[in-house]
Amino acid sequence: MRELNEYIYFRDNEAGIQREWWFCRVCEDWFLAERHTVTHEVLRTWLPVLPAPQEALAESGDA
Amino acid sequence: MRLPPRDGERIDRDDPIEFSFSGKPVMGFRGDTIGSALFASGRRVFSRSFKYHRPRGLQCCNGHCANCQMTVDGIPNVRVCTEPVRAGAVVNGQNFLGSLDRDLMRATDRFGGPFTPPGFYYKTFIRPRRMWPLYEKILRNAAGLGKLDEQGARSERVEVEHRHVGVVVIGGGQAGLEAAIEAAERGESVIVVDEGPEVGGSLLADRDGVATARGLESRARAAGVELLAPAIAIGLFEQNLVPVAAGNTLLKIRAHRVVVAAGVVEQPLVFPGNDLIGVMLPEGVRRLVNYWSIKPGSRAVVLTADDRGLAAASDLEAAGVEIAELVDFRKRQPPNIEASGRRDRVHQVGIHGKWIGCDLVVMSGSPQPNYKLLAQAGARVEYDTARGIFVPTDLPPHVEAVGGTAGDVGEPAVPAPVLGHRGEKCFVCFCEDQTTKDLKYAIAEGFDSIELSKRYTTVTMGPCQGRLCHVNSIRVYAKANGVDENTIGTTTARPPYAPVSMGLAASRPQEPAKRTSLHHRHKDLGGKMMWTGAWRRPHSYSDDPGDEAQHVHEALGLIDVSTLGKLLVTGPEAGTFLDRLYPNRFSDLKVGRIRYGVLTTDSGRIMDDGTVARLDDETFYVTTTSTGADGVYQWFTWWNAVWQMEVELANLTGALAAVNVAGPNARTVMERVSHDDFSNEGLTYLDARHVRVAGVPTLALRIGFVGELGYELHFPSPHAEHVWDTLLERGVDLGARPFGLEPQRILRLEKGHVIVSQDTDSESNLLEAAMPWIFKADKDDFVGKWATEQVAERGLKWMLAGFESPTGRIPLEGGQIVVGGKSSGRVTSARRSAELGKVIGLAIVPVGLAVEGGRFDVVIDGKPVEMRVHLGPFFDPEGARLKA
Repeated sequence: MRELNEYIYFRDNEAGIQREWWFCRVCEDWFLAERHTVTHEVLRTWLPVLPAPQEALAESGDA
Repeated sequence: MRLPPRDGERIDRDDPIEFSFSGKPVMGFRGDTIGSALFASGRRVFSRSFKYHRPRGLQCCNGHCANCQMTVDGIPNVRVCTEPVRAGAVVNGQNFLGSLDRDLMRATDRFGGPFTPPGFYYKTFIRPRRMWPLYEKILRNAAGLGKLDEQGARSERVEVEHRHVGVVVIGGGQAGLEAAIEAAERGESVIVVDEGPEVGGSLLADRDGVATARGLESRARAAGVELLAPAIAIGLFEQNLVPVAAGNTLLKIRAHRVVVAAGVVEQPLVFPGNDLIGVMLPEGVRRLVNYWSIKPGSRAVVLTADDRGLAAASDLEAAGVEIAELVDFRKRQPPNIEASGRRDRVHQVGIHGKWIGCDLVVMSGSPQPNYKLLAQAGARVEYDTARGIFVPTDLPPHVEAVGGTAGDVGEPAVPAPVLGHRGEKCFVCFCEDQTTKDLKYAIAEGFDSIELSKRYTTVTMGPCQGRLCHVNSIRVYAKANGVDENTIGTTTARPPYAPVSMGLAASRPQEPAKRTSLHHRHKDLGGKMMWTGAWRRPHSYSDDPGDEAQHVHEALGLIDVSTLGKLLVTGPEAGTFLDRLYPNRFSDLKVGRIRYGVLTTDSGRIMDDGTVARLDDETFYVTTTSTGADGVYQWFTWWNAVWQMEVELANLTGALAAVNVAGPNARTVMERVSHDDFSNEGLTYLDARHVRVAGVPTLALRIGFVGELGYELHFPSPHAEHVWDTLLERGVDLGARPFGLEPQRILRLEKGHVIVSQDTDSESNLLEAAMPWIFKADKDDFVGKWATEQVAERGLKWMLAGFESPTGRIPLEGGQIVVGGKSSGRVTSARRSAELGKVIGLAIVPVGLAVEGGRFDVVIDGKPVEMRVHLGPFFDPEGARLKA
């Protein structure tokens, strides 16, 4: 149960650079972004590519 | 009162405008504001102060101070000094008992002093404790500014509009307009926002400033600058997001670059009697004279720390006002200055013991750079001891400051604030009636940090948002504590920069209502339209939804279900993809067959439901709930982005219309409008088939949400009216009639069919929503499997169960279930069914009660009423009608 809760609910609340999923409501594409959560500066963005990077799965936080 | 016509005046004397104040007519001219017209008509008392109900008059004339707040056309707290006159406006004073000129609450000023120190609520009026409710009632009535007209509720539309530009310039004074012109001439797109009724800023106070302002304005327009006024930038957020309040629109402007040209805020001087009527800031006086051609007094004393007071003195002399005394603090600083009043107006000024008679005082403290927006954006501010002002430094990237805001204010010499006072009160914060004595009192009580003191005394927290009291309060604090101003520091600058109406804060983004392609048919047929999320849908077509439902049981009904989400999932891995998303299996679904599906989140919570039809080996047609369509599409596309499977997704929600044809006569009408095989063998229950209906290529799904023989027809939206009309016409002798959402809710409840988010909530899981059959525990992993297994392991606590109401009383949806005197669950749906002759419903009950014959009480009108559990469908449990 504890593991499950950690998987579902717990996210690192990084004060710094964080990798996030973003959804473009215009073109309806999902993309990844590296964003500084303090300055809100977006460092880079990229489309997910084959094969799925394992760390992306692990960091499936909300945009 | 008006001066003879002058060059550069803003008013048009040929265009008089009449409005009313306190029920009496007042004349102004085009170009006047309500404030200037009232002043010209002889009015000097404009408001009553917050706590002491002291009379207050015009002070700044540019919207900074709160002295002229009145109720205009039912809207309270309008600053009338910047509100243009309009014919027929109904203007009234506020915050008084009696009249604006004779306010009975004034007693708090004369006698209430010792009882109203900072925090008096919690000191004087707290004992005896039992009296607090009475005190509270009185205090609540006395507190607050203005009154909302609760009867005459206004209905206004407020919208959010998004804009993207190269440069947004905040402030349309000289510096702002020049920066805008320069940027526009370089080819950048530029918006200038200004809080005044027109751009020009403090130029508008100059004798020939209007001409200069108009010149800059036309150059700006010629260069392609967009000028917005009145429009208030209420904040400056990260990534240069500038929300702007412009009438009934909240603009959200994103700019590559922000130029803050918000000018300065003229600061009052802190001396006894500084709030008396007739004590004004230099720009206020100059606007009255130069802009509206009004003589503000006959004999003036000018107290100034900079050139602003000198300019005012020169303008006053030109208007025939005698300057009785001019104190330029850069040359001399008399040790004490005080003003005294007679009949609420300033009557004389004492300068180091020498009293000078006057009816006007111009006070000019240091002009404070208007840095609030910069500070919000993360700039630091530093106190410049020599000039007595806070100057912004360390601006964030892509944010610039120009003009007065940047600290370009000359070399003022501001005298130290007076701390002790007898005689007249010595105000630091006019809005909240806080005197230097109050601040000293707070410091003595231990509130020696500016942030704590602000909360305790409420200094800077009034409607001027600290514009006229922030600097002075810090200077008073510094002097009283014997430290410098940088040690005291400033309080955090928070949005909004200016008061924003609640309506604007709540304004909705431009998300128009969604209408199906049959919208006008529903209206023509008498459909009573209702909101369901963003959709407009017919609730029913008659006053008796029960009768509409009955008609579906007996004959034939049509319901527009175009709002259903419709997704096409294609590709070699489409089946596997759905297997990973849904708790049940779809890879083994046969071509041409349909299966019900429920989506769960990672935490096993029910997210959405719908049907999945396999059209060919690699193509699945997925329907979702109406409100879940966008969310499910995003959910699917996101998992596809994560998994990178060989799957393509297309959202056909808007492209396809859908109509459910239901009732015992459904097959007959389908056979009339189509040449395809609609026999029970040709298109059996849960079959999906491409057919033609009224000549239109259609996907027919044989499903039965409403419990009768039914066909859900999906076809291109442009043909919706044609298909709908044909079905109604050809079925006329079969009793074809439309039915709305409410009859559909009755019909599905008879079948015990769940509506996601009506009968489930954010806590519902498959097992406790009575859908264990959908959970295939032997399947490979799927989203929500882990969590659902954990629910099974911990044991079930709740269960969604049907019930009947033996008394025939209908419980409210959301009604409390009571077991043994304790709240234990709730009713999620309840309706009267004419078909069954009973009141039926669904409820989330403790799992132990979810057995045939279980009983529980629901509170109706405060009293428990017994309900009996019924498991399974209420109507046609074998589904014989569906499969007929």
